[in-house]
Parts: sequence; structure tokens; C-alpha cells
Amino acid sequence: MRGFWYMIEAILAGIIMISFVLALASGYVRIPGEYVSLKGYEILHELDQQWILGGYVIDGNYSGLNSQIKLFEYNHSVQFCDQAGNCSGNMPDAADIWIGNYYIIAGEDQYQPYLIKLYMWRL
Amino acid sequence: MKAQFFILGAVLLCSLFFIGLPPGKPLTQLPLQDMDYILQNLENEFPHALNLGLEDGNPRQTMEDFSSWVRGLTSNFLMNFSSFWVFAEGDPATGNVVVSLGNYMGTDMTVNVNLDGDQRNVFVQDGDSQSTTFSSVGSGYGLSVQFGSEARSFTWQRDKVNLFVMIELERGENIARRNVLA
Repeated sequence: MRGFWYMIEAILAGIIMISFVLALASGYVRIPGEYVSLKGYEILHELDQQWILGGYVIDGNYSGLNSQIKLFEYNHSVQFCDQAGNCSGNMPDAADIWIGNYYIIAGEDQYQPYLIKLYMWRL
Repeated sequence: MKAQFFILGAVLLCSLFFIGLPPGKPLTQLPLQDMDYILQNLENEFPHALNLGLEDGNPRQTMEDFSSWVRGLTSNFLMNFSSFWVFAEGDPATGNVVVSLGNYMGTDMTVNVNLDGDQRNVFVQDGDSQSTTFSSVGSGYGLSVQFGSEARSFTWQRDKVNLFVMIELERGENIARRNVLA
């Protein structure tokens, strides 16, 4: 009989621990949208540091740049906007777009500033 | 009795986790916010804009254009952009140094420029820039600029283009600032 109570108590302890871990995993540690935005910035910044970003922008190759971006769990598309506010690229036609990320470049080989918009949304 | 220690241990572990948290704050916090990463972005792009302007032979106009464009963009993000920049180009052949000053602080100001004791007051309107030329400058020189309530001093080389940019973004009560030297 004593072994039975040991087992019950061990199960109770297990339930407490599992509930705690599940609570953390489900609600408390959900990644906020701003973190994804930050991740988007880091990706663009890294491509800029590798001298990849400017080339795509000056060539107007938004699909090429988009294919360089790896963001698991999220769809993404890019737009390039020049100084006059003319944008090329795809703005997603979805109801649940919830992140826009912006990156500014002065140009590649000549002064030709662009704003790069990175749209991200959940798969 | 022994298994009760498991329960006690589980409760203790959970309690310790929550006791360790700062009160009233969310479990996850952002390491940076958008203001910080736009600043980081601008910190890289201002020197780049100057380089591209130098290649085009019109650095002051390029810096003006870039500053105005950034001011417009950041206002779209509900941020107030303020900036002051100074760059100096020396000519080894003549010994002249051209000091250019850009004012995007939101108000007109008189900038006090002092190059190795040669002191000048240069009036710069908001959203504009001005240049002043110093002659017979040595290969290394000291430059001080006073704009508004701020003052900066630099030791620069005549045969190199030197740049200082102060960038400030403000939204509500949040203010973030970077100083760039290149």
C-alpha cells in the first residue's frame, strides 16, 4: 500500500513539473512580433554587410533579394522604394500581415538612396 | 514519505523560477526596439552617403539630400529625427581645409567653429548646410564645434576626409542617440 502512495506522489510531482513547462511553452514565452521585426532587420543588415543587399536593390531584383532571406515559420516579401516614393516589389495581399521591417541604404556605387521594406507574415 | 520530496522539489523549482523574475515585467523583453535598429542602420549609411557624395564630387549636397530624405522617412514612422554633422576635406597642395556643417536639429543656429585657434561663427538654417574654408592648416589639426548647447572637439588629419554625425531619434518620451565618427 505504501508503494501505491509513493507512486501517486511521484505522479503528482510529475504533473506539477509538466504543467509548469507547458505553461511556459504555450503562453508566457511566445515570441512577440517585434522580435521577428528585429530578426528581419538583422537579416537585411547581414546582407548589407556582405555587400549583397545594395546590388539587388540597384538592379531592382526584389525577388532575388527575397530568395536570399531565410525566415522559418514566416512568409516574406520585399519592396524597394526610391526617394520619390515609387516602390517596386510585392506587397502581400493577405489579411494578416503583421510586420513591416525597414532598411535604408544610401546606394551602391553611386548615391541612389532606397528604403527597403520587408513584409513578414505567418505561414 | 520519500516521494513527497518529489512534490516538494517540483513546487520549489517552479517557485524559484517565478521568484527570480522581475516583478510586473513580461517574461520576454525586446533586446532592441525599432528606434535602435534604425539608428544602427543610419550609423552605417551616413558615412556611406558621404563616400558616394565624394565620388560624385558633391559631398555636401549629398549629405543634405540624404539627411532631408531620412527626416521625411522617420516622420512616417512617427519619429522625430534630429541630426548635426560636420565633415572636413583637406587639400594637401594648398593646405586648405573646407569644413562643412549640416543642421537638422529643428531650429536655426549659429555654429561656433574653431580650427587651431582660428574661430568663426557660421549661421546654419535648419535643414541646410554651410561651408567655411581654413587656409594654411597643418597635417594634423584640432577642430572644435559648438552647436546649440553641445560642443565637440576632434583631432583630425588634413589629408583625410573626416566626418562626425550626431543622430537622434525621438518618439514620445523615448530618445535614442548615436555619435558617428568616420
